[in-house]
Amino acid sequence: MTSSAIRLEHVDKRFGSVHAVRDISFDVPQGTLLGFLGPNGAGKSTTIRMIMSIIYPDHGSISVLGGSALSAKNSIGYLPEERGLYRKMRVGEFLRYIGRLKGLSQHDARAAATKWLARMELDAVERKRCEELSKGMQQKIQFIASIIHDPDLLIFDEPFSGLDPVNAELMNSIIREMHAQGRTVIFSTHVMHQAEQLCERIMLIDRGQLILDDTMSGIHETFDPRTIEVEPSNGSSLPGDIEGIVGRTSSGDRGWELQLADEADPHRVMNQIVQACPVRSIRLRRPSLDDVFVMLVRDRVHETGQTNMIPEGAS
Amino acid sequence: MNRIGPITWREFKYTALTKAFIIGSIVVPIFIFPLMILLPGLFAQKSDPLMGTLMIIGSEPVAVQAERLAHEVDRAGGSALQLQQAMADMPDAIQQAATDPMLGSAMTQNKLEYDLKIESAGIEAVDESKQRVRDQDLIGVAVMNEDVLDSQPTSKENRFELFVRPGLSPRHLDFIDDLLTDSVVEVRVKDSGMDYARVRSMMARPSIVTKRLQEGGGEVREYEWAKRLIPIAFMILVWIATFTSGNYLLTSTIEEKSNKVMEVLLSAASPMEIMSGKIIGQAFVSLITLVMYGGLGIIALVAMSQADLIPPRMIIYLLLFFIMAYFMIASIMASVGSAVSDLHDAQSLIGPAMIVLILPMILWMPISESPNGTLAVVTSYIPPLIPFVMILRVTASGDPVPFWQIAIALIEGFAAVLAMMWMCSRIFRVGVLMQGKAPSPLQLIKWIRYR
Repeated sequence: MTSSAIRLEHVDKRFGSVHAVRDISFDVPQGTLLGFLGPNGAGKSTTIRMIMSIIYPDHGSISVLGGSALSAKNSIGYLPEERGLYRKMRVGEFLRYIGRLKGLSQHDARAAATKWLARMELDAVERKRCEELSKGMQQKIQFIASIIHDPDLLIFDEPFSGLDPVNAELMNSIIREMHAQGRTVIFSTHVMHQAEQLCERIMLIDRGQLILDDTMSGIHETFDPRTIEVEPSNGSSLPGDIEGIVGRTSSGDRGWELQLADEADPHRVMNQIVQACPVRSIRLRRPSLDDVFVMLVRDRVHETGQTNMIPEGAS
Repeated sequence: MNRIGPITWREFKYTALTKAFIIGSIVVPIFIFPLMILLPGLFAQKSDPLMGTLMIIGSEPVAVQAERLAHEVDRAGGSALQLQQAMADMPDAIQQAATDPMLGSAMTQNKLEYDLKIESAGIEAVDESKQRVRDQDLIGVAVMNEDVLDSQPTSKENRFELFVRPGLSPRHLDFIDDLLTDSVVEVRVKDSGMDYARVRSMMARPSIVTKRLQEGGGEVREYEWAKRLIPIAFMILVWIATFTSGNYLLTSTIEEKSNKVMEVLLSAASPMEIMSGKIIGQAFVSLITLVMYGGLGIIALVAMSQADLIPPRMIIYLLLFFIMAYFMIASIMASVGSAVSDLHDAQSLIGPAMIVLILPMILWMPISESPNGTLAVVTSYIPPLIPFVMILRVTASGDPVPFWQIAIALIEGFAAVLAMMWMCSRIFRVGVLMQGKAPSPLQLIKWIRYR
């Protein structure tokens, strides 16, 4: 049986009148690559900060790597969303400092800093002050700071923001590599396609509540495809009225996106279209994570008539 | 605990091992101290010469006397003489320094150059003389009544008027004042048939050379001014040491918060560990300041053979009350730094606390003059004031402070330190994660109660 990397039980947190996290419970087995998603102000950072024992829940319990969150700090690597470096400190010294705080000896911290700077193609900046680096370089330094102590659990908040595609791919490959070595990786983002590409499990949080917790395949099964993409052959056009279709959107040269009615059988509708007009291509489109996210969050706004913002600074 | 070490070292290194600190807190005092010894000489400046005519109306004898005094006696070195007299009360080391050629020449430069003529006239010339003063033809005009020369003048009679031209310097005016009043007194004495020179020498007050008998035998010259200055010197020492580091702590915390590096630190260490590391790091910085300035003071006292003015128990008290003051101020500064996003917001939060903490500075005189008075005793039990008031009391030269009062102040003070550190760590814990508008003092109190 796989043991838990993180277990939250009925965790609740308020900041004055703002209910930031509402009775959340979940279990993340070790070795999972989890996407922790949600709109801005949904309570992601508050939850992560509680996992990091930066703040504490009002109710409920949190267990990290089988113990208290505080005692597990040296086994956690955390990349906060808001990047922070000491402007006047030299890069190598900053990394060694963080390494020391994370429990490494002076010697190990120095060796790890040198190793990771080389790996991130930043060995030339070791003696430079942090303020002299570009934004992308600073982000890479902070990424190194989060993994320098070889943690078992990695929590990344928007790790790719501000990175060019080459560096994003470099970081992506390192995250995959660390996951392949058996580490648990949680990454929080609101860029859904990144989560979709990288994660095997997704959690969606909205207004402090966990509204989705499933594997990617489970999500694909749960959320029926409700869109048909069709590209008619040259000169042909779609019939005006197709049974089971409630809306259509032109995709320009690429044809049409047709929205299925809730009760419609996609395969029957597709057959109907093929028989009605010659098509170059037709396919049932899988719901993207974006679609699922928008669908779930929009439905909740409709149900409650509320938006979901935690005031700035409250968390 | 192993996380506090690196935080402490970083805080210390990036404050104390910087050019700004080394120059400002170590090099400057080393140079300033010798300058202070030479300060009286350096301040002495050569004045403009006093040239012109002084009119004395209504008293021919005073005019004659003034003319004689102005030329017979060298009256010009008045302030130089005062300086030399002041020097006589100074320790040998300072007197030695005053014999330095440079300082000596500074003292002679202090001598006022003058060429003063005296005229006299009857009472009818008042208006004309005043006009001559306005026209810059005369330096001034003294209008006297013969009553002023009475051997026993009433207070109403014992005065006369002096009209001077605009822009006459205070030093020139002092010179003329002295010349005129001395002349009046001398005329009175002579009119009474006495020898003025003899009377003056009899009236000269003797100076006292006070010597303090030391406990282990021997005697040293007692300098009253030094004993008066020691309490305020000790308190200022504690002030400088604690507030310099407190200020560093405030700015470094604000910087870490605004740089967003705080969250990185929080992922590695608890808020209490961060705050403790920072406070301990700055404590060493503060200690360097204390040792630097305090050490120079002690060296100066040793040079003046006055080391026994500071017995070892005073140094122990200094250290104890310094530690108390530092941890009180540092925890306030760290928590305020954590709660705000810029220095301006910090100042408005610290302002009220500073007004309270400046009280001992204002009350220095009454407390050190009467270290066991009601004011001193009451203020030494008010927690934020304890270290500052107690250091004034225990270093004052009056009756010794009863030991039980010192013990109570120490116990109460360190209990207050623990309570303040606990409260401030609660504020720090919440504050470091807050962004935006600065909290009100009421909100800070609420943060203490947050879980």
